[in-house]
Amino acid sequence: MTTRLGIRFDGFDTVGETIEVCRQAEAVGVSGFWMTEHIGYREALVSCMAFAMETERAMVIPSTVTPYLFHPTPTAMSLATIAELCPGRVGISVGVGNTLDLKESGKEPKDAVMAVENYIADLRALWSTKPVERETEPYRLTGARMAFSPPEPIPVFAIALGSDVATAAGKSADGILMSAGFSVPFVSHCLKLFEEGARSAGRNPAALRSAGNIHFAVSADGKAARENVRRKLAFLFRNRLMAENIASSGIPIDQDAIVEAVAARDLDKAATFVPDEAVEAFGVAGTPPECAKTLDAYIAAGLQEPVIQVSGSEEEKALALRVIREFTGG
Amino acid sequence: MKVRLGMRFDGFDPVGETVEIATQAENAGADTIWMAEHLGYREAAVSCMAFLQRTKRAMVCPTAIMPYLWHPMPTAMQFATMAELAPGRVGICISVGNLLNLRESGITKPEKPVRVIREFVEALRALWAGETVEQEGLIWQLRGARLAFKPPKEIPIFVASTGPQVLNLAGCIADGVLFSGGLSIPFTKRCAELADEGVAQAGRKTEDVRKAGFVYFACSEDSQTAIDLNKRKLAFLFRSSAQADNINSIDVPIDHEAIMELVERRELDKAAQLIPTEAVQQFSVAGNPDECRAGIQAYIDAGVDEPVIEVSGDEENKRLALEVIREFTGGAA
Repeated sequence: MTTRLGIRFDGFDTVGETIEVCRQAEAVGVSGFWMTEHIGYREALVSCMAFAMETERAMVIPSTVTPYLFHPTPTAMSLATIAELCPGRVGISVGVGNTLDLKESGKEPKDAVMAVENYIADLRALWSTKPVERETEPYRLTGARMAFSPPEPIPVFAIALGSDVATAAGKSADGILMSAGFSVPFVSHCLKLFEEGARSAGRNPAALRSAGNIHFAVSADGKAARENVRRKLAFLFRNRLMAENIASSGIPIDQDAIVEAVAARDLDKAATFVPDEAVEAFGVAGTPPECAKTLDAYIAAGLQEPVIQVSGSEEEKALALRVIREFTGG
Repeated sequence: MKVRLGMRFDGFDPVGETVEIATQAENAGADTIWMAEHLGYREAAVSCMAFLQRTKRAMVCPTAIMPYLWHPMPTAMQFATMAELAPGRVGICISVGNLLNLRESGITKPEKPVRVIREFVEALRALWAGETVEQEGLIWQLRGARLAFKPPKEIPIFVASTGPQVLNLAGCIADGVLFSGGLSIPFTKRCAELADEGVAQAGRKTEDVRKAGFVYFACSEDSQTAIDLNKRKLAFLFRSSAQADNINSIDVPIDHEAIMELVERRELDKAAQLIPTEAVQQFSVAGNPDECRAGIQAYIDAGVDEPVIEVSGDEENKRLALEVIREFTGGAA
């Protein structure tokens, strides 16, 4: 299988700058653009239409589209419209979303796993142009129907923050997208559960896809990159759902202290609780050769598509593109 | 207020074709591209993003975003993202939406439309201003929601309706009002007056609120072909009992009941025969290029600042429609 490497955007940069990075990244072999639907930032569906139109080959995947804020009918229409213009180049990743953001938008999910499962089924049903019936927590469908189908199937990824969702994803989704900050052994563990979930539902795991967000930073000396990833991990580990991932590594990390420091908006302090070995275990950081080696470890663990960021200064972006070129073969 | 000419799409054709037509229409001088948000068809916001990338000047306007289905937060994000890429070229049109389609997507009865539209407009404006928004709305609640970036230029908000209360609201709070297609000239005048009453009530100036109007449009070298095309469109429109006031606004007798029955039985050809030829010219613009120009002018004289026509049909229809746009606007600047 050809090595795939995706890049992801967080919506924090202007859409024009992001399009430019897409062009450069595709030229060095990137296979997918994952645009996270961070509430309050650049919106992923329209951004992905822009990426698809300005590139020629890579897939575009709006990511963390939540059933609590995006009704399935217009969402299915949006994805099918992009797919009609760029057949075979569109996917979607579905997740419940950030609970704080949802709360600010008036939503407090009660049964998020069920909501995501239903959403995946409903998007697929809408794309088949059948009338869809559904009574679910975030929305209702009473005969909603699309008048056109995407010319090729749109793969639906489920986002896994832990092992339970990995199993559920294997039962229903076309692929799994692992949250950022998973260690290599935890990725391997989740992939195993994903495949078990697929087999338990009578599905062929070999036909499914896997991708994983990875906290990534590269610098000429490696040091600046490691500090960058240390801060990202400190911010990530404020999330209690990361406890399982942290524990599986065996590295002693004081998650309570991190949570407390992040809550106090003291990210510098929180970063001091992330030891060097954790930076190595939960992210990809260092010089270009060091980064390439760690990415290889994720591939060796069975991950089909590591998804990294191309961000930072112009020099850091250039180095990231160099890593991508060497990793994908250009 | 400067008169503009817009064109619209209904989402029924592949998006690749509409992007191509949008480009041609802009070259011919069209000022705006309106994309209908018909549920089940091509989605308007992503389509408009595509239009923005292949055109240079025209404003795009997804029409109409329904506040019963679209949450204001992702909606604000979408439009701010588009506006960031093409500053000053993005508008939004809001309306209740089609009742049947809403019902299929779980909205049994769109309650209190005036309140819901008002809340949606206020939420979008506050989010685009970068405010932290607290709103306990009828449909949506915002509890500290905030955008992390702002559109670089204002995004004008249109409200679409033919109902007196929503037209009044549009005059009070919106940047523009959109009249739906198939309205007679007298009914269009009445809608414009209702919007103006809202303008006056809110102490605003008439020029603060742009009046756009979808106009059923068919152009052919042979007038009768164009008239027949619009007879079918009007018959389909008149399947709704809500069209009674519009139909009764002209002096030509039309058997509305019979049309509704025939359309319900899917006999559109027969229903079209019940639309008198003299009525076609009063509810739409149809004919040869000269007649079409005169028809567009009649809507402008009725108070429409921006007639919005279709560029559709066979190649001849499209070519002539583009020709009318070119002559009407003087071509692209």
